[in-house]
Amino acid sequence: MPASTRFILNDREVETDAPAGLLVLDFLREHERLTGTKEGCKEGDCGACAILIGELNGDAVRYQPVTSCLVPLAEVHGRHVVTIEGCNLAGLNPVQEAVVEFGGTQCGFCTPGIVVSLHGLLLDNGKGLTLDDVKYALSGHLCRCTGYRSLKDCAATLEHTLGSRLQANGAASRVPVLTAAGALPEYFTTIPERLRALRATIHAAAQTECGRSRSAESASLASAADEAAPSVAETPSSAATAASEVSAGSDALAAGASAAAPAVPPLLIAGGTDLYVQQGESIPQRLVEVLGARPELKGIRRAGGEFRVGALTTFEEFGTHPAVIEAIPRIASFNHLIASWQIRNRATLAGNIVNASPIGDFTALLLALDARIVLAGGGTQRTVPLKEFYRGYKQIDLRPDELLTEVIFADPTDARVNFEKVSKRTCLDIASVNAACSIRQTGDSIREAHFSVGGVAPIPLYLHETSRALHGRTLDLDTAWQAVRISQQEIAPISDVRGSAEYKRLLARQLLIAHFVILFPDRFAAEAFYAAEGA
Amino acid sequence: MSETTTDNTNFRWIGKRPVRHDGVDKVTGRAQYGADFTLPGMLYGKALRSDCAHGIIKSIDTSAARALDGVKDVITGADLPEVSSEGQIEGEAPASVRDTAHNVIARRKVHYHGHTVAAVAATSPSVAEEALKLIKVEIEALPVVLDVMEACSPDAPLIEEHQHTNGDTGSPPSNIASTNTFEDGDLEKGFEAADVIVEHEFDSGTVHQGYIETHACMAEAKENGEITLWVSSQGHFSIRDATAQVLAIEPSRIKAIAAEIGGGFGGKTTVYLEPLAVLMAQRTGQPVKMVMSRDEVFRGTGPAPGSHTRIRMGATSDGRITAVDCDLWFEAGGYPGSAVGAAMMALIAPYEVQNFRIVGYDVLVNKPKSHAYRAPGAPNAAHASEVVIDEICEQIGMDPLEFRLKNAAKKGTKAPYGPVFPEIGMVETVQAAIDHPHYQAPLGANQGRGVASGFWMNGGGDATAHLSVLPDGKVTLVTGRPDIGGSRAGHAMVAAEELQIDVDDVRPSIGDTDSIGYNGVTGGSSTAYSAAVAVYEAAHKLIADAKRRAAEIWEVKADDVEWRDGAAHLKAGVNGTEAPLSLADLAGKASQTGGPLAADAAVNAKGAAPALGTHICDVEVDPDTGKVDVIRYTVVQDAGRALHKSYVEGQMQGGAVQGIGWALNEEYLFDDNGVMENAGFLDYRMPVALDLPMIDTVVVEVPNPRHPYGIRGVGENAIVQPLAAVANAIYDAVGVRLYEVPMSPPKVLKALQDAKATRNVAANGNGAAAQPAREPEPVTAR
Repeated sequence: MPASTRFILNDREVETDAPAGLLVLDFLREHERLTGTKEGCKEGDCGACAILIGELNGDAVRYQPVTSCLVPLAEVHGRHVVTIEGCNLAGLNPVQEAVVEFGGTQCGFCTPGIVVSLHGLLLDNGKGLTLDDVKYALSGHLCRCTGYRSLKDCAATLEHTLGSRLQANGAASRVPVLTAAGALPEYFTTIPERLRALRATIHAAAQTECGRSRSAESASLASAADEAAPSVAETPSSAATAASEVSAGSDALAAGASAAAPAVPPLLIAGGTDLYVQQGESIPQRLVEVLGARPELKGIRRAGGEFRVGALTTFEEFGTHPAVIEAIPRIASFNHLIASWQIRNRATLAGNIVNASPIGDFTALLLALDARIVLAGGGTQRTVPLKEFYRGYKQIDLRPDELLTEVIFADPTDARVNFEKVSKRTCLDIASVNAACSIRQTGDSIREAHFSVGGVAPIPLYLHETSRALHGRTLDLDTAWQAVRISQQEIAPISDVRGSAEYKRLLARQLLIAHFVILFPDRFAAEAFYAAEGA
Repeated sequence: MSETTTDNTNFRWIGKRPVRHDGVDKVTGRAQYGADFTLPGMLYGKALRSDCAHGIIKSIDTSAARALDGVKDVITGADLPEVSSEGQIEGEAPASVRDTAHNVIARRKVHYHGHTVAAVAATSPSVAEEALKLIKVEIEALPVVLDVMEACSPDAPLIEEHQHTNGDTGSPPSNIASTNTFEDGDLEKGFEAADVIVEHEFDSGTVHQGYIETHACMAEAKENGEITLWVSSQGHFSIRDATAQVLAIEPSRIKAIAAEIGGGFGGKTTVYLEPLAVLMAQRTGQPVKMVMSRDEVFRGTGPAPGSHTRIRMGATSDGRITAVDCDLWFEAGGYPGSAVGAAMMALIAPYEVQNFRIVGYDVLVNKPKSHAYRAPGAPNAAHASEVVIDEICEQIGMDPLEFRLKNAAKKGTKAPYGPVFPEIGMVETVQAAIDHPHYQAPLGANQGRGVASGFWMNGGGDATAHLSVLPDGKVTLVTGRPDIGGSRAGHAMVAAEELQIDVDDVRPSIGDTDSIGYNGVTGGSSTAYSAAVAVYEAAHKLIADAKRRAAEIWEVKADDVEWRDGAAHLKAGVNGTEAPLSLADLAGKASQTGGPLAADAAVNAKGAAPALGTHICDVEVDPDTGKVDVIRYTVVQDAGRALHKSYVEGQMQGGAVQGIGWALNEEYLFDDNGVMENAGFLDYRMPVALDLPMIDTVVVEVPNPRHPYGIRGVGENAIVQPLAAVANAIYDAVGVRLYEVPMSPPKVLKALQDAKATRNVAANGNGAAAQPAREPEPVTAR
């Protein structure tokens, strides 16, 4: 029998033998009859199914909104799941009141998800309640009725009623402030204690289980339980969807998951944000292992002139990590172009890399940071430059028994880093073309340069020739134009729903130019740049 | 912020902003939508959809699916009765019963990729999915036609082999299902009188309503033949009737219960799943629930039609429109019935035009059967007329709003489609736009401003209302049109206004088809208007009855009693010291005074008056990528009288944003075989909050004289203008005209590059140097 999943669902503990790969959304609606969580697309695009997942972080619980249509049930093992029903008080809370008051609900179908994400915003210590905060918090939500005006109008009221109290809150958790303000039910204050107890129970059960048999699943649960307070790492990810099967075994069929070691390896799930879109129907029937339960795959370490980032770090963890922000000050603005808050909370670096989408946003950034990746398994461990990892369309240098465990890149504090993306929507969109670069200088001379472009080749494309050609060159218009020209020869875009080949070629050119104009505003005015074309 | 041009101080509730009655259920997740219902023993139904866009069904083998454990039923088109093509299905987009039935499930042919060919009912969704894979469908593929103009060609593949335009069997079979012409005046003379003539061709992509809730229903059939249908729709009465018509059963056997509806915008006014769920429930004796996936919604339900328009407009140098000549070709999809008729009506209706000829064509293509989408057809039409007007204004050097003011239709103007307009607010909305600070605000580099006006005729129709006084004096209000935009709150306000009670003391709900008289669909911007008439009448019946009862209790004449502040009072001057009798007092004495205190009204609300609106749009164009951002947007619209101010504004904001999405990004992309390539929200890009500025609104109130409060429909008008307003703004920003929506980044960038090349050519005097390459539309597989 597969191990059961135990978690706190709103105010009560739940234990279920439902398949580990079942979507939390389906579990909530079909098993628990919690129909406030809505299904609008099952692709993570509409946000109607948003829930909060709370995880112990020291003494407090850290909550993040996610789209439950892309989260496997096993992922919430030992965690707190909050649905709209779990946000309800006897009367309306300030978020709900503001949404109703300003006409932020018309048909109401998207409303529960939006209310949940706004609770996620209130609970997030790193965020405020400005109009921008609210807009970014809603980046993963589609509302077709309101035109969003009325929802944005809620921001000022929330800022007025709760802003100062949250700002004055110095504690690690906002829960006490919010429960006192009537913005959260009282039971939230009991959750840290209950989660600790739950995890202890899980730990004990896993130890017993381990004594009898050592299935991959129970072992991983045990290790999860060992780490009562997973390190607070920040992760990035790339396109609106990312994360995927991290090891092979793609034909794995669950086959009942006997107590003995399974004949087929489990399907490994990182963030699942691409995997469920691609294979969602079949996953509940398969044996799965949720990698999020392995804390050793998370965390960001900065030492010895480099960053070592756990492969399961999420985009949001990466983009909001203090060390990353210090090294790449504009990371927050890059992050805002990538997916949505709700997806960034799930999508992982490893998933984005292994998914091998030619247009993966985070992969483009990591290529430009000249990252290396650590591949471990089958008793070996090797480190591969990311730029050599891709062999062809969706072809990667990864053995079936290997796992991508870590991403390493030189500390970019001394580099100028840029990321550009062109898509129809500001966020929550797959790029037509994306591009990233990092440039290190010594005086006027380019010491090192790395360029990547996505969406213009079968693989996430590192521009070898362009990058190489710039080494040792003087940073001037001539050099910049040379980079643009060489890059045009390195790309081979095809036409698809995100743009024609010609359009993408043109965009790649514009984005290359944008790198120079944005990174070196003192040297390259856009007008001068264009004026020098053909010179 | 929002503004309004009249005050509503004489009203207790009308024009105010009470909180909606359904708000609590919606923000707490308690509101129940189509997929939220469950019954014991319920089966999960799923539709199998054609993977071929055009072909003849040779065989469907369901034996393997039937043999699968957990499968309770498998049906194909052969299991449904053949119905006559005579009957019509009413709704926002009327269609023949036969076409509707064949669209629900294909019979001999499939007309589009995604056309349902079979359905299963099974004990779980996964078993149902598995069963679909076991059904073997053999289809003989036929050539596919997707482009509306190609479909008009005599040698185009015929989607209905026996279809003759307008039923004229003397003409050869054609994909053109029908054509119609509006004309008046003397076109030739009109153009002769023109100082400037502008002619262009316009294209609009196929777009979807994009409601977030997918179609869903649940059906239960009892042994005695009675059927209960829970359905998310814009009109459960018409869903009941259409389901009965498709299945050839009596409507009286079906009770339809309205679920909350998670958006519809016109798209939920016909049947897709309901007849299949009912049939399988009948056959299995078990309840059947069917819920579409998002993919199915895109591939199988009615989009708004794509269109091609050729328009020629003449005007004098002092800004008078002298003539309009226009042809509109609309994609009906796989079966006849596009919105081309409404497009013809709306095209130049904001203006007084003496000489015109407007021809519409309803054309079959191998795409899903098109269906109503907010002001159906009018955005496509206004896209053409309002851009051409902008060009005329540029050529004659006139402010575009002055031009619109000068040509504005007003009371007494004869509409292009025949009737004479009552009071309408064209002049008022244009003037309000001129006076708005937005119109004079400064613009930066690569920024531009565009304006457009738009018309929607609005509807009325059948509505019923039931008011019942509860023992505590509160009032239940039952109406029968699904609440899609806040109509429940609006109708409660009408009851509270007339009964002179607190709006929160009215408890509005939507009754099922057995509990209240017939109601039309929530469509055509008709519901707030028409049901308000019914509620108004019911309230006055209730008041009359309450006064009669008070008179009886007081033993005075009914005329001596007046209704004030929610209670019966003795009129001033009438002898007596009786204390007023409130609704609670009267409810307590109801049995002694004639029985329960309740009142009904059933009306066919006529006199709906058109809505006019004028929009101001500012954009910023990124010349490097072609991306267009709307940076400021103001909607000015005549609401007649805003029933609920916030919800009127909400309709204006929501409509404008749907139009902005249409203008900039939304469109169906098909491959050559007619397979939609972006059947999901990730690649069918509807705007998110970050894509939009705060949409400003100005509610103009030119009361509709034929309504007790002056209400006009407001729901649809605001989607009409954005296509042209955005196009005009882009021109103002960067000097290039685009005649095709969506004006997505590739198209804008291409237009910018072409313009640059043309300028270079002009500058170099060398025409051979820079022939701009045609940017192919991205339609190949990813």
